[in-house]
Amino acid sequence: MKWRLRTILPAAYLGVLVLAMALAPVLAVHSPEEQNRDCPCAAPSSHFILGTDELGRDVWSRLLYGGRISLGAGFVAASLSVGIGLLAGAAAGLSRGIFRRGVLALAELFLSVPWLYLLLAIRAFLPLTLSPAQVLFLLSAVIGAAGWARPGRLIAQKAGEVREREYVEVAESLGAGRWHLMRRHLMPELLPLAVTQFLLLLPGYVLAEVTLTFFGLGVGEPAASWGNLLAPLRHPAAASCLQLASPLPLLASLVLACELLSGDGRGND
Amino acid sequence: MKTPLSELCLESIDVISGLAPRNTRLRPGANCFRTGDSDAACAPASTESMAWLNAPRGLKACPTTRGRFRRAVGWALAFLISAGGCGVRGAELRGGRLVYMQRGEPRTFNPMFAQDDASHEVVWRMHADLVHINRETQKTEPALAESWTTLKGGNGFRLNLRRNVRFSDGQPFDADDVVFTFQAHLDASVKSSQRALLLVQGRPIRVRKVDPYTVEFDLGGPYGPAERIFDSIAILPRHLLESAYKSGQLPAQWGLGTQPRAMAGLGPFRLKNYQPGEGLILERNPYYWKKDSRGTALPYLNEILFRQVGDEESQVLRFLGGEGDLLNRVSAKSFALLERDANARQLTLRDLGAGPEYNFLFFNLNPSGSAPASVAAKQAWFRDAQFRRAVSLSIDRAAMVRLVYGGRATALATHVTPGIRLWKNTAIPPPVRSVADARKLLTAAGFRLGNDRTLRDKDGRAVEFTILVNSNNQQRAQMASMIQQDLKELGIQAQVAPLEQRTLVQRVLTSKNYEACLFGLAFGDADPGSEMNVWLSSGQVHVWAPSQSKPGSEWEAAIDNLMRQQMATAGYAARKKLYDRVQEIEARETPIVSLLSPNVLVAARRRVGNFRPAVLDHYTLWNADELFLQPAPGDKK
Repeated sequence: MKWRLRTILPAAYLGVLVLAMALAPVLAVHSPEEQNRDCPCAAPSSHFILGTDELGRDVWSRLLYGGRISLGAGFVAASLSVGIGLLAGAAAGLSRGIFRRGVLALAELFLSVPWLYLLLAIRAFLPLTLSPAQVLFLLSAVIGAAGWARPGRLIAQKAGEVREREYVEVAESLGAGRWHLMRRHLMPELLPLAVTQFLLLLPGYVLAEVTLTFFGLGVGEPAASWGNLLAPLRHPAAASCLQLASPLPLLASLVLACELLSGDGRGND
Repeated sequence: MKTPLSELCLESIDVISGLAPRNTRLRPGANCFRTGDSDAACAPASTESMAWLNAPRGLKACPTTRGRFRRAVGWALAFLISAGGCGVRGAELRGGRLVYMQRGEPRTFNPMFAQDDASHEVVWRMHADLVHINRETQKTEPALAESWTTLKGGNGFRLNLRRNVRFSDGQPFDADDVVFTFQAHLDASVKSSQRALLLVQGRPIRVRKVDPYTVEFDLGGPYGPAERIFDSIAILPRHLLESAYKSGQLPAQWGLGTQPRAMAGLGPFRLKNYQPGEGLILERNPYYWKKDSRGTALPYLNEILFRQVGDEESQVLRFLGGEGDLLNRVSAKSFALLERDANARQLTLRDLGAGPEYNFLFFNLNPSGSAPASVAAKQAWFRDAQFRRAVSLSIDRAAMVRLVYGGRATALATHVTPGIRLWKNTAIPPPVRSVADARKLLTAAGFRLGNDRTLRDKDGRAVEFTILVNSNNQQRAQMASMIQQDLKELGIQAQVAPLEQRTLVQRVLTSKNYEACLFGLAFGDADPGSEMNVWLSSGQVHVWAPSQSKPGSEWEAAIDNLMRQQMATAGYAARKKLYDRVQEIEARETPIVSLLSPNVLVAARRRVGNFRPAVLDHYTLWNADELFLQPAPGDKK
């Protein structure tokens, strides 16, 4: 992979974004949950960098802390999806018989499950004493575990192709075990595909968390998340509080950066 | 809070004419459409709104010369109006199609089984009851029964029915229809959704035909709400439904696929056409029995088009785009949006003040053993009235009203909202926030604030609990966030758990697996009788400890007794005293922490005449028979 500008820029942007979220306690001026009830929907000022929301909470602080939740959910879910997909796909690619067919059938099954309703049901059965972070982790784990099927199928297909290559067959005929084949021959071929899949899934999962929270199914108030920040915009009257739309450019640029990076990866496949 | 334009206009008419009795509130919307409008006095007749113009009482209110001048002007105006000098006659008001936007599709046209708002909005334009609660005055008035007398000291009623009344298919109405209707409702096998309303002290009421225009009802015992029992029981046409009733098919009648000709009612409109997903048209019932003060047959409108548009946001955007004539119950945010363009778009906006809805916080007070162990450990705090009062004192309701509802709500000390004006105990002071008093109460109850600013009980356990809130209700989610911050000042760590509404209700009423909950209920009628299910300890909606076999505490037993007494007591004053005591106990024991009541906010195009919205359902439609459309300038008659 050549280090070109279109790789460096989005990678640097993602790095800055992650760093900013990680340094939220330092960069945030106010607590994200502190309500300044005398100044709701305040315009950006030196005191409130991006203004305040309807309850007088600092939008800049909520944007930073909310990014931790939204990006964190995306990272956890995408890592889980790609991790499970990589293991299942590679194992399916290595075997030719019933196991391979079983994994692919399971992937089909997962693709047909209505996950939104499953998430609703899971949310209903979760203990109420869980903190927003725990709820977030559980939900992103479910989203991630549910989303392994698509990368899993692709990786299984690629692994099957690699498995048919001569040098792999030679290694097998010389007595190489499955673990050796996977580690030495399959993984180096599959990892770029897994990274590309991760970059493709990441913005989708961040958007999934934002969407779920936007509709009240994700991390609840008062915890800050980009979905919670955007939620008041459902109402046309919120046009007077436009600072609430501040996660939108971040979401758009995140999608663009991931697309550029994954496109670069796809080009090198 | 701004005074709506129409109200300003009405006040000015009151001053100029000097005709209105001082204690008479003029009918908004019936009289003018723009401030300073010279047509303002050219009011269309409505059954009540014109009455004051001819009221001689009003003249006695002006003894001075200036008053005599006012009187003269007033008489002149009255003469002009009554002589048709302004060119407005009842007959000329007739015509036009009013467009009403609904949030959902109706599920049935059968009034016995209509339970959702959309069905109610349609069905109640097609049917009438014997005695009706005027949504504006909240008092009863004659409907199909033109008069009534009480029997057996309030244990029964004799109703004299109107004569020469016909159903919308032209068939005559008489006592047989009334007897049939009540028999059908009271037949348990029919499973009418209104049957429970016709049980007095658990026993079904009895109905008997005396003659073709007289019926007697035996309530079997004293009944506080008295003739209100007849409100919202639609009188059904025996000639169309009796055979279905006898064959056990009544519940299947008048579904959405029914042909309009197969239905008939005694309401102002009848079904003309229904296209699922597109809209529903009601047309004028030519046999409707009600007339305005000039004797013109109502309704004025030729048609009402009910158009289903989904959620409130779509409704508001479409309304701003010029669609529809009326908007029922908009949120404060939508109201603010409409206010910006009200003049340019010729809208009448009305803030009717607190409605029947009350929002409140409550704790899990279910008897030991019925709640999970994790909740039971915290119930010792929740059962302490001082703890509940401290929580109540710490909540900044004024900020909630301001931030969540833009000032269009009223903070509550008890569940009785100012909208239920006849029953509110005005001796109970409005809620005032006092964190210092809250801390004193907690200290008296044995709680201590630790060095880590965490409140701890006698055993040293940190006080923390989770508040359930409906995830689809943004206002309640915001209120929960505010409560969370307020409680932090007391050292209480509250978590907010948003849940889908059905799951939330299941947890509260069935599994009882919750600690605290932010909830909302509404009075079904402006009478405490509609609250029995909430305040009796055996009630299914006694949310903090539903369906108890016996009261869990002395104060609950006291409330049970008072509520039962007021239901069995005749006369408003005696019942009010009993209900006042219920509210006193509520204020003292705080079983629910009443928070606020959102204002009822409605809108209409200024061309809609006789627009007199009320805080009770169906807000803008309750006087649909009197609504009319004013022709736009330049329209030819």
